[in-house]
Amino acid sequence: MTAVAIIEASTTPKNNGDSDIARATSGDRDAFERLYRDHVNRVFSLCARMVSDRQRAEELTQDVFVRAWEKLHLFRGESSFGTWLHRMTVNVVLNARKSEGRRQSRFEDSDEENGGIDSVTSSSTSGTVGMPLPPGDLLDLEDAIGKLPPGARRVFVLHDVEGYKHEEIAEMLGVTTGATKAQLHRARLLLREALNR
Amino acid sequence: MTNHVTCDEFAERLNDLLEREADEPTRARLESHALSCAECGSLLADLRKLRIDASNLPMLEPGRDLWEGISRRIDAPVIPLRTRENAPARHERPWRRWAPMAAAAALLVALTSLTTYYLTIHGHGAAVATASNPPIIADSVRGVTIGGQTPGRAVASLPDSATPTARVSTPSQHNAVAATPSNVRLVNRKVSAAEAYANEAQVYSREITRLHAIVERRRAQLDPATISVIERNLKVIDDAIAQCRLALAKDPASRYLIESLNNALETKVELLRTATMLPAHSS
Repeated sequence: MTAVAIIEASTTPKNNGDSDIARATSGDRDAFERLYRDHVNRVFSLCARMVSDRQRAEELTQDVFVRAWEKLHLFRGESSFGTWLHRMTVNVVLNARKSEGRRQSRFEDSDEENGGIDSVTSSSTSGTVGMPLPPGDLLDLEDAIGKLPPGARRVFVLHDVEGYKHEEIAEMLGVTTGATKAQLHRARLLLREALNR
Repeated sequence: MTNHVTCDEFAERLNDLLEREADEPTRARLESHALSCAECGSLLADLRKLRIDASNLPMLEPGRDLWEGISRRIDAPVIPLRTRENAPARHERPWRRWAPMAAAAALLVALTSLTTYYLTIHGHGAAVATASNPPIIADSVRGVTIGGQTPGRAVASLPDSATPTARVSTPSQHNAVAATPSNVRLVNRKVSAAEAYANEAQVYSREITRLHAIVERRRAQLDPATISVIERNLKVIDDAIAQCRLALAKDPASRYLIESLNNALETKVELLRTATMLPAHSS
């Protein structure tokens, strides 16, 4: 199932969804708040899994909705509002990563080259994605995703969790599909290793 | 691939199998191997389960109601800058966004200046323009100069012969060059942002390609340490250019981004020109 199909299925607008979009576009804050309530969890989930930092994910979620408010007049209804918002979320998260400075990106680069899943249980991981989490295996998976190296995590979340295709991910990240496939394979093997411990 | 699949071959094609990109005969052979090999079978089963579990992860909820903060930010008055659509979000303060690029540019200017100064002072047997005013060097190839041509500023490159000898022109020559149509300042306020972007990108691309070729031809003549510095700086600038282009792809009408890209390209051209002017390494 593609990302679009998943999003369409999971964020099917309520009966008043379209009218809320129209009202929000004309400046109706209450309508926009309803749109926020309908979509916030999906946006937050994507942010949280992409950045593996709950507090940062909340900030990014706010950024997404502020940006959505500013850009709502550009929404033409060619896709569902959920799809449009989801794509905007990916862009906001990726742009934020780039703007967070060279120091961090250097850290991430070395992490991506050398790192695996952080096997050290530390306080820094207690605030990772998904607390509270569902029980059992899914809890382990959520936790393990949060500990993946950033590059592998981004591709894994976009592909296996969100359902984007390699071509779409490569375009969003500005890399080749070969690179996204390699990152995905690496992520899966690291997750398997972590989950089988 | 033969009918018999080894574990190494299985590992190599595992991605294709999971992504359903393997053709039917290959898929059948890989599946058959997975059935006969406990290790590979376990790997395949685990990864398939992982994929299913990942697609079924539940949605997460923020720990607090974020609407209040969003509402406050929506209520904040919008101060239009160059383009309203390019107004940065509160978390993306311009100085934070562009500080690394500015710092890189400053570092670059300092490094290239020091390198040029050092090599000039130490002679290296090369003829370098040492007039009291900064040299104005005409482009002998196409007579084109690009970039911010303030009077008296070194603006062009070496001939394709790639000798380090700089040709010094007079201010009147400089003015004559500056008056040619191809020498229009790249940020043309009268054309649209998209047109300006396309035109500028083309001109910069040509100039950078040409300068790159000259530097490549001169590589053997230059000090390896100098080459290394130049390459490191080019990498910094290329990263900045790539970031600008990525942002522009999403917001093509943003003049702010276009000018930032121009600045980065301009810096790259300046660096390459400096490289073409460096005297030959004397061992």
